[in-house]
Amino acid sequence: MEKEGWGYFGWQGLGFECPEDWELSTVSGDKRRGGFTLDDGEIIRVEVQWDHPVTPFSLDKVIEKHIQDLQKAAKRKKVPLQIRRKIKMRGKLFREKNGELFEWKADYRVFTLICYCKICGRLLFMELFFHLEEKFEETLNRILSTLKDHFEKEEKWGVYGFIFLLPSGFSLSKFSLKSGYLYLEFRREREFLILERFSLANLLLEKRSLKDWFKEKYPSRWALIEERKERIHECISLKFKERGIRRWKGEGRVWYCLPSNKIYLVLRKSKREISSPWPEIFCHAEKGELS
Amino acid sequence: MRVKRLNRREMFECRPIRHPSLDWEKNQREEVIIEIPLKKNFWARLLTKFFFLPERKKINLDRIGSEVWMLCDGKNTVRNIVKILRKRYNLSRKEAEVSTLEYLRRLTQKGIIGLELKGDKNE
Repeated sequence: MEKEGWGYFGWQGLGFECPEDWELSTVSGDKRRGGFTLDDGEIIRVEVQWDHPVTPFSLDKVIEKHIQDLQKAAKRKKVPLQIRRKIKMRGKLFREKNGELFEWKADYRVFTLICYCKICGRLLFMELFFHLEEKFEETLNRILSTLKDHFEKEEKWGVYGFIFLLPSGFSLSKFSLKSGYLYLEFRREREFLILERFSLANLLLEKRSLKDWFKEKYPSRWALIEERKERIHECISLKFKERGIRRWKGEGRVWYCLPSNKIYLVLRKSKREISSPWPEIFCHAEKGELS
Repeated sequence: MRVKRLNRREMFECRPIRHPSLDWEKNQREEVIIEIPLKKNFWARLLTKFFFLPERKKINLDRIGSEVWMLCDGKNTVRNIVKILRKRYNLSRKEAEVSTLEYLRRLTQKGIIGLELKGDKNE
């Protein structure tokens, strides 16, 4: 579990612990090829890009090319550039990888990790930015020691503090990340898994029950099958069947997590029998009540 | 009037302050209602000859909007307001920042609040 002041970021099978305030600012691509950046409100802190190269390539050449590009850019901007190469890397991650971590200083102190994972075939390019006067050792070590670029079973996702374990085989098909509302839709063949998170739950609910709020928010095709109140969670379980040709069957769980002041919604839907397990959600400090 | 473009850091150091000549009150639900005098241009003046036009319009702020309004007292910086909302509603940094800045931007555009920069009493 993450310590105070530290959070977890996980996206497309890549995850690491990072300071809580480093949050997603841009995201692109998919699991095969893509990237994201995290910022702390002032500067970009992490920039990640990945690819799964199909044709053979030389990792050394990739690294050399990147360093040459850096030197060219520094020369063009007339900024002095210092590069410290082949920084020793520790941890399990680096035992199963070819790659190099190097540091360069210009306007910022930047650590660049370029590595290729023999297991998942991901070529990873990661840059961590620090101010020149900033203490960076602890942060750098923690990020790199917790960095994972593949998961053996369930993938751990984490975005804006919405952390969950995704059952294997699912891939992200749609998403919407808005202030106060997150929507992530995953697909495995003809099965869908939809996760939603609403912030400011106390204001959304006001004096209504979760059931009343849900009925108002979502169409009436849902049948409520269970409603229960726990110490910190108000939960409802749902089932639905769509009429007509498409005939989706679905199951859902909705709960109001008091400590995090958020409403969570998980929905599994399929045209066949639903076989996927529920994802595990860490809605507050402990695991979410999903079973 | 000179309009200064603020960068992000300056924006966070600003102290939002309510327009002193605006009337406002709280209703029973603790929501703020602001009364804004309507500007009368030529057409409005002409219309008042034939129709009733109210002198003022009322803006009803929601709960969070009212809380932000109360915090715009010239003492709290934008950074403070974001911090207070973040803690009060358990929001992530980005959630609190994006919505607060957007809300303050709208209030500023309408001229309901002003932003006081440190050491710049004329802004």
